[in-house]
Amino acid sequence: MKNSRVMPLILAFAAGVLCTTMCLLIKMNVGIAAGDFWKFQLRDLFSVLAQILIAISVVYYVNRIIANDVKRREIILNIIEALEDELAAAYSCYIQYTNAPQPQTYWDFMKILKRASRSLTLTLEVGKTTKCDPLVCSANDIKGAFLDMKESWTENIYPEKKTLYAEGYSEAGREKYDILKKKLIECKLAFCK
Amino acid sequence: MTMINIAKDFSRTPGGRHIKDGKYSGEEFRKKLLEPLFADRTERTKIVVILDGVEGYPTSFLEEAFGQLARIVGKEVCLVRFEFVSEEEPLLKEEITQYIETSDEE
Repeated sequence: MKNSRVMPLILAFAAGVLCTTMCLLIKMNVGIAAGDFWKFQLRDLFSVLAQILIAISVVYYVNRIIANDVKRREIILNIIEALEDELAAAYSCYIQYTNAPQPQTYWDFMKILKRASRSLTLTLEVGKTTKCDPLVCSANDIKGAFLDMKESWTENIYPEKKTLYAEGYSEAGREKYDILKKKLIECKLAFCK
Repeated sequence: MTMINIAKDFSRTPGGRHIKDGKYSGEEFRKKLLEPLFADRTERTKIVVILDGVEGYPTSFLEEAFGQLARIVGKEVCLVRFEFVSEEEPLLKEEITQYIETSDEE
């Protein structure tokens, strides 16, 4: 939150506290030399002012928190969705390679997977810096699921491989991919609560 | 301190696990670049491995290079001596460390 945006909140709150103090001082007859009627009027005036100012500062503060939180959630959700898209592209390339292993498809797949890995790291870093609880709490889970998936996808594959995969190989890859997707969806749902 | 830049000193396109799988395999990398550094088992100088600049690492390449090396020379010495650097794919550091740490589980 920038200082210029916080200043009205601090001023309103400080004025509210000052009015409350004045109100209490009048009530306790401290330092006030006016007659009873004016004391009564002043006390009421300060009391009303204090309530209005404190209410304004509280409403303003709550609004700022809600606005920041909504914005933060939107940013994080967008990042996770972009990551999901990259993983989907990597999976599609992986399937393409398992169906027809060719060096070019292999390198395309490796490049997309590398990009997805970088995106995942950035997503988790954003989660850490913004202290987004769902991302920070599940960072290790998500990392673990990604590494499992990568292992399943790239274990025993190499550019020159010309033969098709053994039956069930891509099923294992799909399974690991689904686990990672599930973890990302859980993370998104945690944001939407 | 010894520095190994995989992209420059070995290949930008690391291959599969074994030499029989094709060029630039994990086994070839380990035998050519890593094992000579561990010829003296008492040596403890740092080996900085720069992972950036390649097209991507298959799991089998990394496991064969670092996991198998840990099985040969011991995981403790590998954990002490290796330092991995990757700006492009920071998760690789965790991945390789995991292969070294779990090398005795298989």
